[in-house]
Amino acid sequence: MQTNRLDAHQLTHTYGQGDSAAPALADLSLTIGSNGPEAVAIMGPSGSGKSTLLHVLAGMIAPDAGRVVWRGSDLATMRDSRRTKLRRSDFGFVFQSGQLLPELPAIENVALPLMLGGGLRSGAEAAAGALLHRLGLGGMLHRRPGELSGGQAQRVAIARALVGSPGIVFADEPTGALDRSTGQAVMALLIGATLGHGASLVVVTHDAEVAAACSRVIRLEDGRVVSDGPADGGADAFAHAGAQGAGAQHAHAAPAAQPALVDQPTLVGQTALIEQEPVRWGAQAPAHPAPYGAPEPRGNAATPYPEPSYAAPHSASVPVAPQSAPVPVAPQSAPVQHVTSYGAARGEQQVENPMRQWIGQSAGVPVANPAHGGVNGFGGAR
Amino acid sequence: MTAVRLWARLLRATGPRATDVLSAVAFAFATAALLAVLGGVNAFRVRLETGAVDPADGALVLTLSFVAAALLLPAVWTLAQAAVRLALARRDDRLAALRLVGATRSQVSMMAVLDAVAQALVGVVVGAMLALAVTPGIARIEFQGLPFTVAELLPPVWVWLAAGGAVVGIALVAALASLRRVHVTPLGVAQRVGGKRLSLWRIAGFLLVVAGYIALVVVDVVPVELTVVIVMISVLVLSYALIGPLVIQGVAWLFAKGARRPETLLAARRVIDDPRGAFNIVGAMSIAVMAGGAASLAPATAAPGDPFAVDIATGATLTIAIAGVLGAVLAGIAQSAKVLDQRREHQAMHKLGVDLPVMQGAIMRQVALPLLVGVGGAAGMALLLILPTFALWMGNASSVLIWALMAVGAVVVTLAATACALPLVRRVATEAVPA
Repeated sequence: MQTNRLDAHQLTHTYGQGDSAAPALADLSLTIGSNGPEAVAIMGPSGSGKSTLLHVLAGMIAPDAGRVVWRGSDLATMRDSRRTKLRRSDFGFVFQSGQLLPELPAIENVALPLMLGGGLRSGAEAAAGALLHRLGLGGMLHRRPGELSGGQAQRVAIARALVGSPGIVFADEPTGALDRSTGQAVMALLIGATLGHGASLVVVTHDAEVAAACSRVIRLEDGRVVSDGPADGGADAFAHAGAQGAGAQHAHAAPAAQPALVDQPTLVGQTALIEQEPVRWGAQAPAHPAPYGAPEPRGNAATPYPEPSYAAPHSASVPVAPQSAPVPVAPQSAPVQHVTSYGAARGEQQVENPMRQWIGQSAGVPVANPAHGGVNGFGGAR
Repeated sequence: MTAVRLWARLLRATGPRATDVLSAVAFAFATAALLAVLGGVNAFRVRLETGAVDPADGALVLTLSFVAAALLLPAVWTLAQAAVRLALARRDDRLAALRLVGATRSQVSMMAVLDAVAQALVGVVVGAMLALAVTPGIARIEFQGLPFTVAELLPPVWVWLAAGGAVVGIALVAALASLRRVHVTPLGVAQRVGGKRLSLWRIAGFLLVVAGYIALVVVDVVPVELTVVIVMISVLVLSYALIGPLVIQGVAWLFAKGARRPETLLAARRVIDDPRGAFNIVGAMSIAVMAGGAASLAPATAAPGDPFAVDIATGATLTIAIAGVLGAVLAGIAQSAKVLDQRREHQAMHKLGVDLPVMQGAIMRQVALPLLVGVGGAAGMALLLILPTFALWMGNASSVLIWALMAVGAVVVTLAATACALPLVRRVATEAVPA
């Protein structure tokens, strides 16, 4: 099996010439996905080179110098036509807006990458329909982008990015055109669904909340990496909960810090993929009878058509023992008492209970802020 | 006046862009076609007034030339509109920047209108020269048993001025209309909701025309003069424009349902999105091809040496030629304007890994599909008339063959003109990605 590892070596890229030359990337090296799928945020002030880095990593532009190695091939030296094909087959993209073809209904927008890859229309639409159902857009398959809200359109874009089973999804300010709560829900879905598909996510953002939802944050200044490490907030907490949770032993053979598709909820990273019976929201959501020849259910085969819900924890409360030392050496663990999350099942609204399975499970308290009393999976506390 | 001065300064600073040139070319073709058609009408009028031809025949040919002119006028109008769209295609960035630095809405509108009118003026001048240049060629064509003279084909000066004024006026009106749309709904540009709904009144209108035609021409409910019959025939022909877009939309819908290739799907969806735009390219051509097919039978069915029958076939051939040229220029211009309008879409597709041939194939099919439905359908209808009567024209097949060649030629020229928009797809899609 090919590993989804992207290596960038000593990237240099400059715009303009002579006195007006502005270095966008200066001898920048990094690796993404070396230990399995991860969600990486690239942050930095305007002009720090983050968009250039994304475009170079995704093979949209060739750097002046340096190498970008994906699955053993150097993108920088590849012919443009081959890079185009590779973008289609191996990468997924989510932009700020304006990326869906306005004339095509949602299902055809999502099916297009598969058709471009030579897939049959029927199969492509079956896969697109199933994916849109999973992302909570089952009722909007035939709406055109102009008939969708901004958040819905971004979910269609996420479906399109994932439909070809990419190794990496690149996102450029994916929530930039959305209001805060819609943006949080879209981000939760983007991370959850991307990692759930076994792909890494690379997201360029100005937004600290978006970055906090990722498992790793790379900060750029003047085309150089100035910091590279885990996101602030509760990433460690949920990683530990996942490692200690009852379902962890069913996880794929992936490191504990990585997401996995399991029968039981695994609290990994900051976003969990829960594969289960549909969470029913009153009379609004009938169970979907596996439309469009839905794929074989993953996980528990006894469930006729498990519909996964993607949800991101917003905050979880754990009791904090009185601290004697100012900073504990290892994270504390405590049972989760209350979880609030954003979930795809309910569109863009904040919902209270899709992660109630977490309650009672053990969660670590962030080392950096032991007296916090809560775990913020998504940046700001409520 | 500030707006005029600012506009002139910007024009001097940036110089004309490729789209300005294309748009002026479109205005030039529209003007030249308009003047050529008016020249023909003028020649028949002069011949009738000077008594050079039999009065009855002369009046009939003059009326028929009006029908042909009426058929071509919508194409001229559409071409001018497409030219305006092209002229305004790049306006958004510049206008937004101007608004940011404090230009008022009316100043910005004024500048956009000046853009369109300036290009129309250039186009009118070039088009008039083009019309003068082709007049000796047209004069070689024989009508009513006599070749035209250059003098006959040159209408009075006031007609030239009126024609030029009309083209500039169309540019002005189309520019104002286009800007008003932008003003009323700023989001309307970016967020298109649903396809353009075609009113079902189109079917009712078409049926009404057909009923009137049957009552007056076929059944003769009341006795009418020949002129009324000809007017009814031209109204019937023009009413095709009512149902044409509906038919094209319906066929495009079938194509979208059955499409296996992404470029076909994309093209069909775009035609469904704008069936009137698709029909405008092929409308005049299809009617000319259908009428030309019927007219091509005339020489074989008439008495030998009857100039009227030959005139009908020649007139139909000329109409196909002019409609073909207008359709071709329109296809090239309209597709170029669309590529520029959909710049962000094309850039996004390129980023997503859509191959250029797929994007370019969609642009070609967007024209090929209406051509197939419109011109293909018209040719098919004409063939229904022509093929069963082949015993009649086998001995005198030249006019039928010329018709077939003209029809095929019009399609080929239109596709070739569309292909001129393809390099633009590459340029727009692979434009430097902003940092």
